[in-house]
Amino acid sequence: MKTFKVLYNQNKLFSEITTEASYIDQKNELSLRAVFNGSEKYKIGKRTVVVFPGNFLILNEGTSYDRDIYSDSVANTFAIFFSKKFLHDFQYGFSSSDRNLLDEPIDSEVIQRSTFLETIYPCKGDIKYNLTHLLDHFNENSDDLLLDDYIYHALLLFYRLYYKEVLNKRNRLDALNFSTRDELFKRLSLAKDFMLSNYNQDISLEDISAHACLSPTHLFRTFKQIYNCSPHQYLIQARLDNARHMLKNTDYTLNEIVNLVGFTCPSTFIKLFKNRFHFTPGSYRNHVA
Amino acid sequence: MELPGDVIDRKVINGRPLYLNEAKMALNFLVEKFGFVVHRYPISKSLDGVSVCDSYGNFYKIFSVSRENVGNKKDVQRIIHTADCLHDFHHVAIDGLCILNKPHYVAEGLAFEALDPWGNMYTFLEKRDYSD
Repeated sequence: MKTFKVLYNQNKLFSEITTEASYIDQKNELSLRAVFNGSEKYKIGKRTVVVFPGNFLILNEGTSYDRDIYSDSVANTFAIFFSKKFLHDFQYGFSSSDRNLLDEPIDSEVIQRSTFLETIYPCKGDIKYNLTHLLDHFNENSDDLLLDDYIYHALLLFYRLYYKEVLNKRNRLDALNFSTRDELFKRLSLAKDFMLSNYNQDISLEDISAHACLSPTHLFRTFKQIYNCSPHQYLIQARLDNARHMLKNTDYTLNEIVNLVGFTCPSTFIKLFKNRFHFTPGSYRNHVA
Repeated sequence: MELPGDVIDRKVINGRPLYLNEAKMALNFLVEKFGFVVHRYPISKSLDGVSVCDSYGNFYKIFSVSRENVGNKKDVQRIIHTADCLHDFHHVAIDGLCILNKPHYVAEGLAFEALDPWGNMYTFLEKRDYSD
């Protein structure tokens, strides 16, 4: 089932519930793409990114991509497309003084294209609440003004997240030169995306470093600088987060979840899960039921 | 006050104080617009107190106080818990409340403030779990 809506200000919302879909050579405005159930695969240039629940992807205006859903369970995907004018007004409103906004409510300069790092971002906290409410109201066909308020807040929260996840973390890197820091951060983001997209596969540090075009030692050292953990620890966290989502939202048995998230030994999984969430998987499932 | 309700419960008696100017009308407003449920509890043989319960099970003991004296009370924060702050923000103006500020992020979640027609200020709070 597909639902699509164009709002009065040209912002767009799209939701799809399906087990199978394929779209080739797509191109849109700046978009935020979240998955609430199942997974969605994007091919952007030469790289492949898979979005799972708990994350979202940002695609810039004009980026060409293929999008596929092939899922055993029903995938529930949701996207916000920010119109160029809305984005420009939003940025102008934040970058100008109140006095300036009164004197010149509409920016007369040519609208510049805003670009962000096209990577997987965590869908947690306020942004998760915002997107969940927005999807609910979108499905209920609420009025445009209400939907628009949620879109405004989604963009506001994304800007905050961007500051925290990109600008702040990039500055943690030791490299002195900005362009070196920027390039290194992009490659580390490729490594992170590769792990989040393939968390359920048997992947090694060599696989990750080859994907990020970094040597394993360089990857190991620099990854720790920005994520405060090793690539292996990051991968384990991704597996545990997805396991927790499955425990909460599916009927899979514990052994099925262990296999689905890429662990081989149930007892190791239980131990790691308890260390991270202070619940055993079974007691966590009972707790959230 | 001629209000419905006859449940006597420890939670009712232990509720937080809620000081309201024009308490009877303000209370009816809370019942009609926000689905609060009114309870009574005994203060003495001949006197009943009134408390309200919101949809999250939070109890408040009602005290009638004049507008001038509301400001002297220490515990005048009136929190109305909501499941969806932005949605309620769009609807409270229709319900006759005067909005004091836009929804803003606070440590506990998302909130905004509004005044009822009798000058009682309410904080609408969507509590969020950030432990994920």
